[in-house]
Amino acid sequence: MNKILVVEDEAPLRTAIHDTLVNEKFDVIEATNGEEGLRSALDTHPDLILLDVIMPVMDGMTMLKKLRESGEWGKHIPVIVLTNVGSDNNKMINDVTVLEPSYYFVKSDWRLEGLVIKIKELLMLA
Amino acid sequence: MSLLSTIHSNQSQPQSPSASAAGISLGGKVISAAIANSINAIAITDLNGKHMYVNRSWEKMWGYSRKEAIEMMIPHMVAEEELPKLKKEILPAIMEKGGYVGESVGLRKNKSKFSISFSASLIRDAKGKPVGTMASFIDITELKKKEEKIIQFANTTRKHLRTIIPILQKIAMGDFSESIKIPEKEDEFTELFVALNLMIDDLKESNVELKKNSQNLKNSITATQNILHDFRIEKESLAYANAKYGALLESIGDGIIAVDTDGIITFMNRVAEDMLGWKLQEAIGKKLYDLVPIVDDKNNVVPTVNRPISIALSTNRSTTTSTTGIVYYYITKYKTKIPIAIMVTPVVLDGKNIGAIDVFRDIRREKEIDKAKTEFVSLASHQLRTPLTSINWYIEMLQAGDAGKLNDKQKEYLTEVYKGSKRTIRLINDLLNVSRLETGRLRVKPVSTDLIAFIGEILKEIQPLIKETDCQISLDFPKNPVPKVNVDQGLLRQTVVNLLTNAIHYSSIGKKGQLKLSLAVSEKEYTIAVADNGIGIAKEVLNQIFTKFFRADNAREIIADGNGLGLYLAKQIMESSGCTIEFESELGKGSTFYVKIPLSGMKPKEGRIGLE
Repeated sequence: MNKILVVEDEAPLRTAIHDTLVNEKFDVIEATNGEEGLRSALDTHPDLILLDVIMPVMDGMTMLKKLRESGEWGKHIPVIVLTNVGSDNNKMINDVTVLEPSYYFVKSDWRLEGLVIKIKELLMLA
Repeated sequence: MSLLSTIHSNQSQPQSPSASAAGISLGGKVISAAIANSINAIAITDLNGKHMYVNRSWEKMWGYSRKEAIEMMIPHMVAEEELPKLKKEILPAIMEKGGYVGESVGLRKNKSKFSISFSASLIRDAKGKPVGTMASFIDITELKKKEEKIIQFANTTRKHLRTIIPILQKIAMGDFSESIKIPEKEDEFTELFVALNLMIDDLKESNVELKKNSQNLKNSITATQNILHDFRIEKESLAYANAKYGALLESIGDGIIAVDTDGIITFMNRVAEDMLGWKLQEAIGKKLYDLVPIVDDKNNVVPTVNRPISIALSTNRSTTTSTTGIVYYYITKYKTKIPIAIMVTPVVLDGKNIGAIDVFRDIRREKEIDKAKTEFVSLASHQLRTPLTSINWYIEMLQAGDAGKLNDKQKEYLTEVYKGSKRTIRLINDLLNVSRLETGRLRVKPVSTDLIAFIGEILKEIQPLIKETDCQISLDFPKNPVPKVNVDQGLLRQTVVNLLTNAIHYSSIGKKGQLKLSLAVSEKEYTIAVADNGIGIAKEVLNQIFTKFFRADNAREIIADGNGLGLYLAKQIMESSGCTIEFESELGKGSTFYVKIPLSGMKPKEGRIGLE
C-alpha cells in the first residue's frame, strides 16, 4: 500500500484529500505545517508528499528546500505542490524552478479526481 | 554905355576881345580869348536882358548864330516852364545880390529843350555901376539823364532790396519757403535774382537734405534709445525669467541633472543634490557615469552603454525606465541605493544635440505600494480560493457517492452549487488577470512552440466541455508541417480557450454547435480562427465587444453567468504581446474570431507575472 503524506494547514482541505485518498486505498499520513511535515516525512518515508505552500510555523517551500537538502531520499521523493497562491508570488516561482517539485497544482482549478489521477501517474500505478 | 561899346567891339574882334571892352586893364586880350574859346557857353546881356555877346560854345549850345542871338532877350532862351523861376528868382537874385548859381532848362533855336547849369553875375563898371550880366552855361542834359538814371537805378535797387531783404532775412533764419519773384521786366538785378533764386533753391535743397539727415539722425537716436529701452526691459524680464526658471528647477520635486554630450554634468537641482548627496559644485564637470553609478535589482552595475542617458544621447530619443518592471538604483555619495524611475530627454538646440536632461524620481514609495499590492493580490487569491476549493472538493465527494448514494434531486442541486462555485473561481481568476494586464505587470515569455500540438492540448483540456455540450469541432490545419513559433503558451492558451469556450457556449443552445478551428500560415502571420454557428453579434454592439464587463443582450439571455471579461482579456493579452485579435459576425448565423501572430512570434516583455 502506497503511503502518502499530506501537509496542509486547512483542515477541511486536508480532510477532503485524506478521505478521497483513503477511498482510493492509499495509506495517508497528515501534517498541519511544514515543520511537522518535514519531521513526519523523514520519520516515515512516504512514497509521495502533497505539500501546501502557505502554512504557519514553516511554509511549504521552506520544508521542500530542507527536504531536498536532507539527503538522497529527500532529494528524489516525488512532491506535488498544492497551492492557491497565484503565480504572482515571485519567490515561489523561483523555488518551484530550483526545488523541482514533481508537480505544481493549483487547488481551485482542479477536481480531486484529477489529483488522484496525477498521484497514480507519478507512482506509476496508472 | 561903354559896356555896350565894349561888347560891340568884342563882337568885331571875337578872338581877342579888347581889354578895354572888358574893362580890364591887365592882360585883357588873354581874358577875351579865354571867354571866346571857353568850353562853357558864355553870354553877356545888358541890364534889360538883351544879349550883347555870346561865345562859340553858346552858339553851339543854343543853335543860334551870334548875329541871331544879339538883340534877343534872355527869356527867349529859356523853356517856357522855367520862365516864372527866371523872373521871380533868378533875375532878381542877379540884380539884387549880384549873382546866381543854379540850374534851369534852355530852349534852343529848334525849340528843343536842354538842361543847363549856370552861373550868372552882374557886371559893373570901374565905378561899380551895374552895366550888364554875364552868364556861363554848361549843358547838363546828359548829366541830368545820367542822374535820373542813377536815381532810377537807386530806386530800383531800393525797391528790389525791399523785396529781397525780407527774403534774405528769412533765409538767414533758415526759412527757404519764399523765393524771389523775378520781375517781368529784365534789369540789372534780374540776373542777380535768378542767381539768388538758384542759390535759395540750392540752399533749400541742401537744407531739406540736411533736415532729412538730421531727421534720420534723430530717428536713429530714437530707435537706438528704444532699442536700449527694450533691451533693458528684455534684460530685466530675462533676469526675471532666469530667476523664475531657476526657481522652477529648484522647486521641481524630481531630481534633475543636465549633462553635455559627453555625459559631463552641467547642472543639478536641489532635489538631485539631496537625493544623491553630491553638491552641485562637487558634481559639475564630472561624468555622471562615474559620479552616480546605476545598479539593477541584483546589484549588478549597469554598463555605461545601457544607461538611459547613453541611450538617449546615442539615439536622440527620450528614454525612460519603468517603475514596475526592472528597477534601477542610483548609488549615492554615501553608497546607499535609491530605486529610481529615470526619464532622459536629449536637449536639442538649433537641430543639434547639445546634451541631455536626466529627470529622476525616488520610487521607494511606488515600490512599497507595488509590493503591498502584489502581496494583497496574492493573499486575496489565496484567501478567496481556499474556501471555494473546499466547497468544490466536498461537492465532488458528495457527487462521487463517497458519503452515500444521492438521489437525482440532490445531484441536480449539487450541480448548481458546483456551477456557482466554479463561476466564482473563474471571476476571481479573470479579475486577477485584468489587474495584472492593466498594471502592465504581465510578463510575456515566448517559447518555441508547435502550434498544431499546442492547439491539440487545448482541445484535450476542454474535452469535458465538448462532451457536455455535444458540439462538433472540425479542424483545418495546413497539410505541410508548420514551423515552430515563439509564443507565451500561458497567454495564448488563455486566449484560445476563451474563444473556444465562447464559441461552444453561444452555439450550443437548443441545437448542436458546429465549430471550426483552423490554423493558417501566410507570409505575414499565423492565424488561428475559431468559427461557430452560434447566436452572432448584433451590429449595434460590434464595437463594444472587447469592452471590459460588456455583455451583449443576446448573450446575456442564453448564458446569464458570463462575467464580460473573456474577450476583453483576450484582446489585452494579444495586444500586449504584439499580436492582434479580430472578428466577423452576423446576428443569428455565427461569429469567427481570428488570432493573428506575426511570423516573428510574440514580443517578449519583462514583467513579473503570468496569468492565472
